[in-house]
Amino acid sequence: MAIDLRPVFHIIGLMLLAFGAVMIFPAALDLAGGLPDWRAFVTAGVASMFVGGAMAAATADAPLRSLDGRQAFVLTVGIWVSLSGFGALPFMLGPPELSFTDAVFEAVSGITTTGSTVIVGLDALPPGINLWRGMLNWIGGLGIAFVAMIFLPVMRVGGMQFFKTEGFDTMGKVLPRAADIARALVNVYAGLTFACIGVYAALGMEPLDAVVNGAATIATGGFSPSDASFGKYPGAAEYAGALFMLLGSLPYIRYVQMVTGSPGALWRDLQVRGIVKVLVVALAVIVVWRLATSDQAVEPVFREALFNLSSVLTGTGFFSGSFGGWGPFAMIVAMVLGMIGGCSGSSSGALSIFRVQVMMRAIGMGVQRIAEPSRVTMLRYDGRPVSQDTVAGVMTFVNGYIVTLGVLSVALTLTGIDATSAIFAIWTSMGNIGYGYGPLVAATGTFRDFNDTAIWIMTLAMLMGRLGLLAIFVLALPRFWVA
Amino acid sequence: MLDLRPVGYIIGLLVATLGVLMVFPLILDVAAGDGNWRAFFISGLISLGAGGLVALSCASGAGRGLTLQQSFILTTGVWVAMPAFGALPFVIGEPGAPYLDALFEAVSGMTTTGTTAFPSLDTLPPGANMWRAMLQWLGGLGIVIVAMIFLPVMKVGGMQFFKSEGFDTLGKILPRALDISAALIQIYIVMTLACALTYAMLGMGGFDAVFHAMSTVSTGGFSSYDRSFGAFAGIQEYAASVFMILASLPFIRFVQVAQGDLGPMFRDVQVRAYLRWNAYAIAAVVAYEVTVRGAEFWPMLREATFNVISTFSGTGFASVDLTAWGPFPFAILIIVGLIGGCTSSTGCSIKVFRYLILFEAIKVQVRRLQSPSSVLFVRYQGRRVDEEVITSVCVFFTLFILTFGLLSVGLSLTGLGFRTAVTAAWTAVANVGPVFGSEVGPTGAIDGFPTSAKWMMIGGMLVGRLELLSVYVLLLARFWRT
Repeated sequence: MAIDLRPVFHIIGLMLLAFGAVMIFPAALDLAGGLPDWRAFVTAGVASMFVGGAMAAATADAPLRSLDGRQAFVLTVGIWVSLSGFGALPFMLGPPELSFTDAVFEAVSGITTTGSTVIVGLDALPPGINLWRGMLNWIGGLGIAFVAMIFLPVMRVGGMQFFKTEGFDTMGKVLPRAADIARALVNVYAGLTFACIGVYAALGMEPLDAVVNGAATIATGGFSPSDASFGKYPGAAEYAGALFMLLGSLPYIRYVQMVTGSPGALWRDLQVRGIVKVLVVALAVIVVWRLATSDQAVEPVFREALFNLSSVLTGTGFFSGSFGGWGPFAMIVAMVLGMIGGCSGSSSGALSIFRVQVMMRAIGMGVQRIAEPSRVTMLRYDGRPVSQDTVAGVMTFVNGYIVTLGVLSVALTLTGIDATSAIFAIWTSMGNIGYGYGPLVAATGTFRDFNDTAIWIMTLAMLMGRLGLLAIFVLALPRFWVA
Repeated sequence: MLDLRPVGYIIGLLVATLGVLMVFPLILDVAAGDGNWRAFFISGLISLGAGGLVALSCASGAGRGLTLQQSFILTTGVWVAMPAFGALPFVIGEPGAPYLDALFEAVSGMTTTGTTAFPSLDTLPPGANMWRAMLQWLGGLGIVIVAMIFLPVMKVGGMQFFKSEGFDTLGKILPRALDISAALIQIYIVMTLACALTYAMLGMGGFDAVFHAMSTVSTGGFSSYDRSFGAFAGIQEYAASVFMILASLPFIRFVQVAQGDLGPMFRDVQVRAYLRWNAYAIAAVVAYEVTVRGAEFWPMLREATFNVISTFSGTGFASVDLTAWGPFPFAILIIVGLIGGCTSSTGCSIKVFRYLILFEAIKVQVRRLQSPSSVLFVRYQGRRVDEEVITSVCVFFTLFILTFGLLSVGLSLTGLGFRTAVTAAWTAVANVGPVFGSEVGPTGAIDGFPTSAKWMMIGGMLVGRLELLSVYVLLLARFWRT
């Protein structure tokens, strides 16, 4: 039976309609500021609403209640691709007047919450454009938290079936349950964002900076309205930023549980404990190393290490201080942190704490089995036995991630980019981090000097990293569309 | 209660044998009238004495077969004890290196890595150079025996898949081991002789031919020249390519070929994939260099063939400055180094077999996603691969990358640059040979590295050569308790 795409188109159409409507915010901001580029947002918004409305109307008879696994796959990828496409329009129609390639890169980077940018001179952009970048991050972060909680467990991507019971059970119930979960999720997400913006503003950020940085922080996106990123606000804002980035990378379901009467849920979660442990260890190592190798005082060293390591670990991609100049050891530690990433079921990317924890347990068991072949041990996570199916899912995900990382890095070097810049560019794209390193990035702190082919490869890598690799691989299988 | 006597007995015998073998470089130096022969005489006596004493004192425990636990201690023990004594001639005689550098050289040899710690090879006495080649040759032979006899029973990294090809139960390790070893040693010697003869016919001097044949067939990569294989640019590079490929094919297939059965060799999916991937990598490098950078086709084909195969098989000879090739070929070299040769060969790294299993497992995983109800199995060479093997392979792969990453972190902590640290970790864990970066000497020697970095690389080479898990298992407290 061929796949019925009508419900998919219908939902994407509705999303585009809403997406076009929210462009009114940056348009209003620029109109109020007397800047002519409000027209770019109106044009893009109308285009998005028109296409979305037409799609939704044309498929109005779609049977929405029965979304099956295959349709869910197409839907997820379709939403990310189409929102990126329309989200790129304002970047082309008004300042910074990017090329199509660069505009798509910037929009994908926003909506995948990566945070890599190709724009130099962010401070001089119209406020509407900077707000739009923050909104892309925010929408993307909310979207992925939603997908991670509702779709990925049912799609059995990379061992996520382990969380199935926490979300819900059968496919038939996707939409009704989804609506409940989504409502709670939006409340938590919006609450965190307002809190973050409020704290930033209280610590002295300019209003627009507070809003954009706040949205980008909770989304673990990392788009900042300044070329200096958080270097513009050293001090207390860095501590606040580190805290809220961490909060944005914890499993959102725990917040929902906390609100609904189970206050201990967050701290009892193994992933939450895991991410704190990883951060504390890395922080201790880097602080001791920085104190030993530089002559700076304890406080700035601790603050900069805390902020930048949290930023990389959660996949946000803000930076402050002289992070890029800390040398190879710091960069390799950062690379490891970036590959680990935040918790499953949050807005951050990369392998995720859950997969790393299952992987380490599987390795431990593998070594033990060699020592004592006769002992039967069962892999447990959070006291629950983990099925062979889930372990295999996690291990193939981890290894597939590493192989893809290698292949795409090679592809980047093929376009003439040096090995260090290439590896870090793919690392940052696949992990949705946003922080670049290497000779090609060093000049501007952005990805502007990468050639068009490389930009497209990185765009692809960001989408793959965001949507869990396997989802993309599945769509590429011819059998998927016919079976 | 753990009985270490059988382990001590075998290690003792092997160390004593190593001492006896030092007679070859000794003769070479005497013949050349070089006073350096004394170093081999003294080192030989020390090894013979120490090994003999240990063997004698453990003799009461011999002849009882080995348990699994003893096998693990034995493999790591052999690879630690042999270089410890094999390093002695380099300390006592030429080049008079510090013990750490000598140990690095011996470990690099025994693990068939091929990174050198000696900055000036051209001026070494012939005996000292020959000893370097012999260490590699012995290391290569040793690992083939371990890979065919011990690893399948140890269930390390999915090697249990090959159990039926080797043999079945632990009780039979020693008797069967002797049979298989005898066949292996013959094949290994024949291959070395053939390689040496070919080199000699193509114009290498007698000493160079034997030296480089030993280094080639063990996929080691030591050269007696500071310029590595650059001294033999030309037709010898093609000859070396052929023998490096042969040395990184599964040796069990050669045993079958020797018995007149060519089929298994040609049908082996691992062999086919290995040859195919080599061809792809060479083609990619040549195409890039010729079209993008305007290199001449024929010399480029020769250089690419030799250097890609040298890296793929984990040999580590170089005939040109590889960094001059540009970023894309460099990335290809790093990737092929992380693949490595076939299982149960002298080749190193993760190995083709594990990649084939991994790719199949990923394919099955993806198919399962789209149709959750269908029952799918991973197949290899037509045989069903059970879950345990797949998990072992995945664990091995992840652990390899993890070890590589941690070693990079450790090396960069000693102050080495990013490029140097990562390629040094790569060369050590995958037993390849070359290191790239500003801290490497002009001849590729790493004598200028910090002491701690050398120790870490020694650890990395040993762990990588012994397939990680068989060393890590020794770190488990429970391993020693039972």
